[in-house]
Amino acid sequence: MALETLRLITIVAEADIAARLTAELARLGVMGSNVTAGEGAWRRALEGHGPHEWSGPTVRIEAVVSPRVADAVLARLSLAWFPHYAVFAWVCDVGVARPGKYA
Amino acid sequence: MAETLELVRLNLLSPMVLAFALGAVAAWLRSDLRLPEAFQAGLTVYLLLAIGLKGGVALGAAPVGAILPAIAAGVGICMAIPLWCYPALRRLGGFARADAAALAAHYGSVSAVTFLAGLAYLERARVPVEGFMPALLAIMEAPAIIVALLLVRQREAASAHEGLGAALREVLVGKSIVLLLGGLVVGALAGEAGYASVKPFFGDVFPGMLTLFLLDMGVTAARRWRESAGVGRFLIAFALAAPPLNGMLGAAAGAAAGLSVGGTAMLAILAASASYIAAPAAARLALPEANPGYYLAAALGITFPFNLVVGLPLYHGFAAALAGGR
Repeated sequence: MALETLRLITIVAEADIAARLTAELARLGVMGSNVTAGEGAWRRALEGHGPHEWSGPTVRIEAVVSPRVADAVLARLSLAWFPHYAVFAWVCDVGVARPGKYA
Repeated sequence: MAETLELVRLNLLSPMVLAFALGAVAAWLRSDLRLPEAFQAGLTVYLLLAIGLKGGVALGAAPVGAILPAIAAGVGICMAIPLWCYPALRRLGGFARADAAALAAHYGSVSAVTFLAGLAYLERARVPVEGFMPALLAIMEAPAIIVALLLVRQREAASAHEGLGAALREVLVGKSIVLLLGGLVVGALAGEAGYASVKPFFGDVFPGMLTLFLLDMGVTAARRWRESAGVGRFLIAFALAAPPLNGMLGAAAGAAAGLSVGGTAMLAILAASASYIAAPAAARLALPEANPGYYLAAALGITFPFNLVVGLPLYHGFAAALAGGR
């Protein structure tokens, strides 16, 4: 079967912000995503006074998107989410069947 | 004096407090003890719905004239607490605005689990409580969060303003208020006769479920405490001093509203408690720059255990002193 290369974007974030984050992804053109609950530990996004090490419930959000949407998502995360929240994201290329489902 | 000591003993040796201590010791020993996430979430739903149902039955039978002063007292206390906490944390503690507002919101809002533990304590002490108190629990969750966010908004405008609506929505449609208010409505409509059919599950099993929940809370509280090195002496002192002060305010308001000793004690317990479910979610949305390490460590790691072990008999004592003749 012929596969088309798209981008798999994976976001791991603190669970409290999951609903707002997935709504933001939809606004940026993500057509669907998979959300898995988890437990994690991280350093606080903002450096300052007080405790930095933290742990608690997290979500892992995965979505297959076009390169254009992946860029838009990363740009938005960098601007509005990374400075304030525990949000981690990475992108890799994946070969998908039925590319029209994603982009 | 002997009676007071007996109440303290009754509280410390209750299965709920002992289960909480067991959970804390397990966390300290780095045991793998933990309730499965889904079971813990289910327990939360059960406890909130159970208390809502029971309160709804009582609410349906209570005269409006008795409820309104209690609601006014509860809302007034919740709105007043952030007004003293915020400047104290800013000026005496040197906290940043967002951190001070987030802490003020947590201490002004209320803890459902402390409320449940308070009810169980008063039941063991054979002190009757007005049945409509769960309505107060639901009503008292949001006002302090609004006041605390407005305190920041007044000074910092845009960023807090953007988050205010989202934070309020988070609180008002959060499961604790939906289950409490929903349970109150269901209980009021079903009445005593309807409630009787579900009482074996929602009433008789309740203390056991609460004990199980507090076992897990012990693990959570101890972990938060361990994680939160660096909160500073001032915050530790605040987390220990604010509950008795707020409890005294709550007892005075309850007595002024004409509540019984049990009702006054419950209002004191609510005022002394610090939220760690609704307020953290709201603070994360509206005050992202506030450090969760401060407010969760203070509310969950320090104030909650203090209230559970020392606070409940203390607030009962305040209530007995101020509303003793009723």
